[in-house]
Amino acid sequence: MPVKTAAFVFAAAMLALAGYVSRLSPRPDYPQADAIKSTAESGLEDASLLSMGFRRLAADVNFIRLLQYYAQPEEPSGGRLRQEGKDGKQAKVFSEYYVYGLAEAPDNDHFEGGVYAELKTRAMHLLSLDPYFSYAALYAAGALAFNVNRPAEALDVLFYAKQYRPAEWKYDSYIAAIGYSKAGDPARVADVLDKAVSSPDCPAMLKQQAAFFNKKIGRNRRAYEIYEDIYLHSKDEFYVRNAARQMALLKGKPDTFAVTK
Amino acid sequence: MRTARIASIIALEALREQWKNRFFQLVVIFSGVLLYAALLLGAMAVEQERRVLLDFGQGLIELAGLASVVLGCAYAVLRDMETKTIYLILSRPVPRRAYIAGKYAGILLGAACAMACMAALHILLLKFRGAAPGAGYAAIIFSSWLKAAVAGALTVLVSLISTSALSALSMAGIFWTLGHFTQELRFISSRLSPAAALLSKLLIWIIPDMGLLNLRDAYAAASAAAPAWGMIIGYSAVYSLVCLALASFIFSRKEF
Amino acid sequence: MTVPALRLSGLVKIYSRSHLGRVTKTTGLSGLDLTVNSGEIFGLLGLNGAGKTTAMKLALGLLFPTAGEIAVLGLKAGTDEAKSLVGYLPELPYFYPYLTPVESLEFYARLSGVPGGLIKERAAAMLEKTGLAPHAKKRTGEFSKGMLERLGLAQALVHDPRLLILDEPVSGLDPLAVWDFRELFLELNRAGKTLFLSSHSISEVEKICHRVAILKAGRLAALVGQNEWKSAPGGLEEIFVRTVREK
Repeated sequence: MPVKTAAFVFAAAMLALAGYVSRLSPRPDYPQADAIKSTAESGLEDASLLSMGFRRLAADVNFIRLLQYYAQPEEPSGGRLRQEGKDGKQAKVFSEYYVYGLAEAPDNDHFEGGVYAELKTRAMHLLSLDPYFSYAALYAAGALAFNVNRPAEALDVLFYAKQYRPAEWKYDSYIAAIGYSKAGDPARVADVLDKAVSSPDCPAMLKQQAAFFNKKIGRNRRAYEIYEDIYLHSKDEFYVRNAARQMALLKGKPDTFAVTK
Repeated sequence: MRTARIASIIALEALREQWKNRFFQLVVIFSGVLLYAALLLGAMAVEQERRVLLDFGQGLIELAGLASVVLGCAYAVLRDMETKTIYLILSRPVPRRAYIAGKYAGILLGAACAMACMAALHILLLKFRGAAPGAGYAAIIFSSWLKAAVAGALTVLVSLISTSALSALSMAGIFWTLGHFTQELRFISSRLSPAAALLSKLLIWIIPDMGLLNLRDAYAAASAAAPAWGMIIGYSAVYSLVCLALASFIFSRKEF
Repeated sequence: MTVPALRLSGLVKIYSRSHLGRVTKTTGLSGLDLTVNSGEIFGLLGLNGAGKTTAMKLALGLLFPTAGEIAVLGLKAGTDEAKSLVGYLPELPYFYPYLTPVESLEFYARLSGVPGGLIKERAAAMLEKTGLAPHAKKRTGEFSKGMLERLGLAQALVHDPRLLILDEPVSGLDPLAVWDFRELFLELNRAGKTLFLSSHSISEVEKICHRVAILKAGRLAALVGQNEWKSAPGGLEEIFVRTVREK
């Protein structure tokens, strides 16, 4: 065999051996490419980012899109919210007025309108890219369960995420909270969510929900403490503004700072 | 010993060329600008700002390092051949393998410097936003550099086989992307006939295993064990050395 | 008996180019026998494509012979030992454009194994010798052709070689530069260096060479001594024209 050919064969054999040995090395458990729940629009982007090894970045981009999608105000029927200006023409929509009902219901800190039909699809897509993105799973599940009232979809999201992070106790807390909510037991919901509130990467939405349930069952002091936590530590100015507003409202109530015997 | 000395002279010259090459400087500046753009994405991610800043910045540093290495390796030898500056080098007592090794080492060194600068800038930006780089940051940047090193060695080899920088760059891109899809390729090969499956398996073994070196995903996964550094560094070294050895072999038979 | 500076024995070089499956063979040298004695200035003349540059590149290991042998100062051509004794000036010397001449010379001196302590001194001396000292701070990318030729000669000399292989060293130079080069070549030869140079300028070759070989179609067509062309009515030019026109 000529020297050149022998050299190439040897080199190929060395590469193959190195490749064989490397494949024996344990790999992190991620969904395969065929398990990525791509949408028609996202397929090419997903493939491009995955082929460059940017799985987490792909999930990040889709998380930002999820936030932007959820930030768009919707009517209870699911249509885009429109606001007429003084001249009768369509004015710019400020989601904060409607998400938090500031314009119509000052005491309503909990958005219960809108359909957001794509919320679960978007959440499942980004979790199939990065199933370890627990913040996104909790955020989406919280919005589905307690904001748009679709607990079954919320459970789908949580059970999917739990496959990859079975030790994540906040998933179990949320599943329990959803169960108690369906059973009409807000006190138990508040108890369960309260535990999750103290963890450092707990979404502000989840904290807000915990505060809401505490307020609902009359635990104003606890609700105040949670709003204060949001106000001091959250980076989401919508939740911060709402927390400030709620703190002001709760300060005005006599039993918020009553000494308990 | 003499080969190592000659290789180090060539490497330092290649490093100087990288630094004086405007493209290299543009990569660093451009990356700095885009790192700043990452701040905007981070703001959009609200409470996940740290994660987005981290992922975007690390991804950009990896891409910049890859671009620097692959472009440098694609043109390193070919440019010397085309401009005939190689006459004055190879007419001297310079072993050809030392020339290849030196060029490659100089380019990697340049990329390491660039990536270190960008990483320092990235960490400053993170701290500016009240975030910490977190455990494994240095390991992730190092693994990105290893990925670029493997891609660079492959690029040198292809550039000498094809004598075309464009072919070398294309092949580097193809192997880079295929290297991240080896699990999927194995899935596809399990659906093929036995003969085709064997061939595809051989191909999978030869394609650089970028998944092994992709520590960004490994650190994030709850199921992952601590990185097997012996395997990671060993694999990168073996793969790069085999490519460079082949490149040296081809280069030793080139006439000028 | 001193070792010849260069000995080419039965040297054959066939270029093989393949393109789209078709292989084209071109003969560069077809059995060249030539000896260059130590201490002489030896000229190589021939028409374009006669094999002058081929012979030089084979001596330097830039090309590999198809057949035959080459010895440089008794050592096998192309080995590191042989290359360390040779200084080469190609027809069109190219340098890294971003380097200054000092940086270039220091780089090549290092590659040639000049001891670290002597590198700066040698580089400065070669710049002075080739008249480039006033341009020491410029980048070679800004150099004119004449300056590049001077720098080319400087890098060929920086490691104090015993044999200089110069491929058309005065091609494209102005008359003053040609004069400078000629004086330098004579000075180097007086210092004991062997020069093996090719040229299209027969008048220049006449002025400095001790012997001249005329190549034709890859073979040695004539070997002419100084006495021979001095006594010929038309000088070396007439001998050259007669030789290349012979069938």
